[in-house]
Amino acid sequence: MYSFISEERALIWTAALLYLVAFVFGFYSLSQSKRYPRIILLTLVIVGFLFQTLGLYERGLKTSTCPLGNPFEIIQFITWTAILLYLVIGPAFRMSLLGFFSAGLAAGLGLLSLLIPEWDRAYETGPFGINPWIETHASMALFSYGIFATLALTSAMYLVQNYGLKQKRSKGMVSFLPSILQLDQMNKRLLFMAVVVFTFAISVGMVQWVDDFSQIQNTKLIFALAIWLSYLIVLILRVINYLIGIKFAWTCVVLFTASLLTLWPIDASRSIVEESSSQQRP
Amino acid sequence: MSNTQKELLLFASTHRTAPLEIREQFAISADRVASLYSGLRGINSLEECLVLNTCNRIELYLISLKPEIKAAVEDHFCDFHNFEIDRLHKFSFWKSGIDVVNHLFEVSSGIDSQMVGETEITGQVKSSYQTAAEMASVGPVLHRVFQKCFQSTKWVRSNTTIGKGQISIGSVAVDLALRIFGNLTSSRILVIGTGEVGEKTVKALKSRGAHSITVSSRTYDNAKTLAKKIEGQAIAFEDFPNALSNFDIIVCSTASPEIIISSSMIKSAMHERPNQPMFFIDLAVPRDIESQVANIPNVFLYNLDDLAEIANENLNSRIAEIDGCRQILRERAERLWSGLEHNGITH
Repeated sequence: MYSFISEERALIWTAALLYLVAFVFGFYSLSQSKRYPRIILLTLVIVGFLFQTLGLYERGLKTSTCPLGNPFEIIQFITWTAILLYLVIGPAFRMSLLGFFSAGLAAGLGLLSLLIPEWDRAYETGPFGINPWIETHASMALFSYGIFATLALTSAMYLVQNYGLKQKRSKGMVSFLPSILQLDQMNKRLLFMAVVVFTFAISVGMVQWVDDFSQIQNTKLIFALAIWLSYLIVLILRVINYLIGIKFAWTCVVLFTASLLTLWPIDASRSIVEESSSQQRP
Repeated sequence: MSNTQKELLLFASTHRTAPLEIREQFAISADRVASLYSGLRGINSLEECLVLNTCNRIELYLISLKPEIKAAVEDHFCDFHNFEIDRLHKFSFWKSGIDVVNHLFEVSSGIDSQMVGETEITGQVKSSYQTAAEMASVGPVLHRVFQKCFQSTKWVRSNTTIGKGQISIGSVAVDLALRIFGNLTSSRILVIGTGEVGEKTVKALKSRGAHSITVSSRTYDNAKTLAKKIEGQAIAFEDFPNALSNFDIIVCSTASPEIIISSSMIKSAMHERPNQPMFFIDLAVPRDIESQVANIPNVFLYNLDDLAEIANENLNSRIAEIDGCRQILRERAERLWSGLEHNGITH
């Protein structure tokens, strides 16, 4: 296990706490029916993002590989991607409250991963990774998870706005959320982007797998393909207008939760393989 | 600093002191404002003056060297409006010193308005100030008071919820449409019926960018008349059911005793546009749209009661904010007043 108070963890702790402050600040403003000053939330998130980037960079130097080797690093990478997307999408599409939701997700998942030391166990590393293509596959796959995370957030925003409109609510958060139409269009774009990135990641992984079957565990392969196929089917159904509105939004939220949960069986299967390979080593 | 003591005075008649028929008599058309100023400037020892003239209030902000000015101002006001001086006191009031500053701050921030928190008054105060400045009727004192007033108004509007939420049916409908469609420039609107509330609602939608408007009515001529008025087009009443899927926002305000838009009609329309939401605004009593429509996914139905309830909720929220705003404005007024006292202004 990596030291609970190592330098990179301290940086990531700072990032998570800044995200938490941003979320609490936004929540307080919204509970007062006030639009929070965007500049304050944006500053907190940007500073948090810089700390998180630095923390992951430090971890990368320590492990001499892309830091995606344990659940803690995977969660951190996903939340890092989600924040990066917010910083890109938020201003470009004027998605109000996306920063608030992204900060909440990054704070929640980030703190959870920090508070469970077992998730940050040490793993075998090599100089610049064993195989750069596998590194590419892993990082692109988790980048797509980050997009799925943002998609889950915008879908949740869609559900809240839809609920508010159906229930004739006009106060509080609903009055600051983007419109139903904007959120729906954003969901469609994010899903398309995520599926493209995930397909690329899967393709790279498949090429490696064809080269050497022993490199990939069956559990990981099955779960990864299942998630990819699920999102691909959702995209097709969305494009042909079969899965739309709240059903589509719910599907995106549920699918992301399921995707997160599949990280555990994938990670567990890898741990077993790592243990058995280390036992076989002279 | 001048040794002469100046006095800040306010003479006013507002919706709080005068009924509509009296306010109608006190109303001053834009072309007569100059004449009122000219009369006021003729009053001896009146140094500065500013007239705030809206449909709900006529207010004269005055800087005078002598308190006896009150009688002269009243005389001029009555002459100007051809109003009996004995009756004037019943419908008007005087304030002086810091109370004037407090009053102005509350007026400008919409606290004293009939529709609490409305923003139009701020523009009216600014415009009155501009007119007075153009007529060289404001001097250093009123200039400072009004500049501080605009700053305080801006602060209150930005930092409290006094102006939050719409309080008219049309504006509430616009807010809801924005929550569904984001912006209304590409929204296609169908108005069924030519009722006044419907027309006002469509005008509110139009003011936020909507420009594709179609009108339908049982009497085609009425539809054409309204369409011409709002720069839209008309379709025959028999044709609108088949054209429903072409519209994003449907405003109904007919006098029909029975439902004119059924759930099955909308389901069929949604089949043709499954991914595009529809917003139905039913302003008719009895209702024009079947209530089960609200259960259709991606369809949002609001009737007159729903809109009125939101408007009332917003109004109540604004009213609840008044005391807090008043406190903030009073503190700012006191700060300004102590500065003015330094410069020779007294009660």
